[in-house]
Amino acid sequence: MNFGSTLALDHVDLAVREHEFFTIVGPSGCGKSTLLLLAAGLLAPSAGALLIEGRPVRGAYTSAGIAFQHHNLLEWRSVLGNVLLPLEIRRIETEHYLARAKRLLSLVGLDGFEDHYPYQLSGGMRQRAAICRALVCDLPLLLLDEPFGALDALSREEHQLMLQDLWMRERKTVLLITHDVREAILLSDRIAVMSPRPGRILDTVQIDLPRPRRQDISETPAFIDYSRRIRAMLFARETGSGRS
Amino acid sequence: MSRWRRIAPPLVFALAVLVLWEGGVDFFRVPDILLPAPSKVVEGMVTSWPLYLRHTWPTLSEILLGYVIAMVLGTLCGMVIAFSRLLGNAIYPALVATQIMPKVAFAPLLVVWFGFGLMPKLILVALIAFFPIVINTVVALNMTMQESLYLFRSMGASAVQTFFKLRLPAALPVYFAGLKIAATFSIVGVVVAEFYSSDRGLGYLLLIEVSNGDTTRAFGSIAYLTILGLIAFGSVALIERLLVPAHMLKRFDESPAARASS
Repeated sequence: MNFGSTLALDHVDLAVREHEFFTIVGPSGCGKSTLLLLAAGLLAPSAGALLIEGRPVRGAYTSAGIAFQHHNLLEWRSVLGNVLLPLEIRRIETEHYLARAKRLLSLVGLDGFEDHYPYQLSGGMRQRAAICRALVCDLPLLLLDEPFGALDALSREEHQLMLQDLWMRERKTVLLITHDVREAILLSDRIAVMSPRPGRILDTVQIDLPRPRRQDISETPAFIDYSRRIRAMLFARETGSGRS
Repeated sequence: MSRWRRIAPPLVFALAVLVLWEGGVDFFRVPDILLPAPSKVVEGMVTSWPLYLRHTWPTLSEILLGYVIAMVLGTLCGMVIAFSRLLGNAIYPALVATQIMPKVAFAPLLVVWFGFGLMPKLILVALIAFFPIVINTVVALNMTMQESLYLFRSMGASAVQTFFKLRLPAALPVYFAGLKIAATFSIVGVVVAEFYSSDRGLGYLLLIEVSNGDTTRAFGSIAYLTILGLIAFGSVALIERLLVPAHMLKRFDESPAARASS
């Protein structure tokens, strides 16, 4: 993938399984956000192909819900209006989906805020509304690019558990991009670890921890072991070439 | 209570200025031809209102027509620049450069080209109001964040849907900021144009009054022109209020784009 004149990604080969919570973790600037845009068909790879269910994707992939680090809510629409936007655009404003929109909002604790405007919400609430918008059409794939990156540490932890709840309920295939190793292990079935730019996949780690996971799982030996492995990969280059 | 607190200081200040003016003129015995007392200006405005009204209509229609021309051309031009990369690259730098050019300097030339009719006034008003509208249209239409565009594409939105559901509503606050600036500019244009070539209108009346040494009436003309300006600005602001949610205006009035273009 050539982005401008810089090589952003180099020989990335990934296979995400259906219903899987798959996370890409890597240092900032390694091209992981580019990878998400590629997965969504919003950028075209300079070489290679994106296959979904075995078929190549050309142009924007419209069977995925997306949420970015910035909520990108439309500030002239209410919370509910924002969540209903994808339905409006697809012209599927049926009773079924309206009910689903309201149910999603109440699942993430936004019931009673349907008629509020984004400027009246906290950062975390906006992020939750954005995730509801990504889920409302009941599409098979959910793409998340550091959705909690801008939240403070405590609400980030709450939101991670909320996302786990949603995922266990909905069983979407999730592709999460993050630079937070702890978040990756807490949420994922598998984690791909990326190297700094130009990004390559160093390894893919399977996380075998029972669900639902709680925040205190990060104190278990198994979790610490995963964390150690992933960090070792992420920091291998710097320590390896530097002080050894 | 808080409303009163917000309104009171500017009211008191304006009143104090008027009182100082009135008292100063009286105390220093300033002759009317240099600076008339505000009470005399108001008196002239009231007693001569039929004269002022007669000259208000031509000025008002020149502003209105010139402004509508500027709005249509400015908006279209801005859309072309915002949506066509090639044309945008070609036109925009020249446009920004010509924005610095003082448009009123064309007033005498417009007389040479178009004579003394309605035309030179319309052109000057349109010319002067055109630039803030184009520039703000371009800035406004480029306000949309790339990620929002990505989201719309991934929802399978058509170009029409993206325009009406995303670009247009996001553009309105900055677009209206441009329209408001243009409204106030158009008063400047009309006065200068009437100075150069007119036999009617408040600008013409002002010139006649000054050359007759009737400074009091001249101040009356300026006051009526100011009222026209307030009405022009107010009407645009009113339409804006109907179309744009209040919480978006607060933010964009303070935005650098709105400030830079003013």
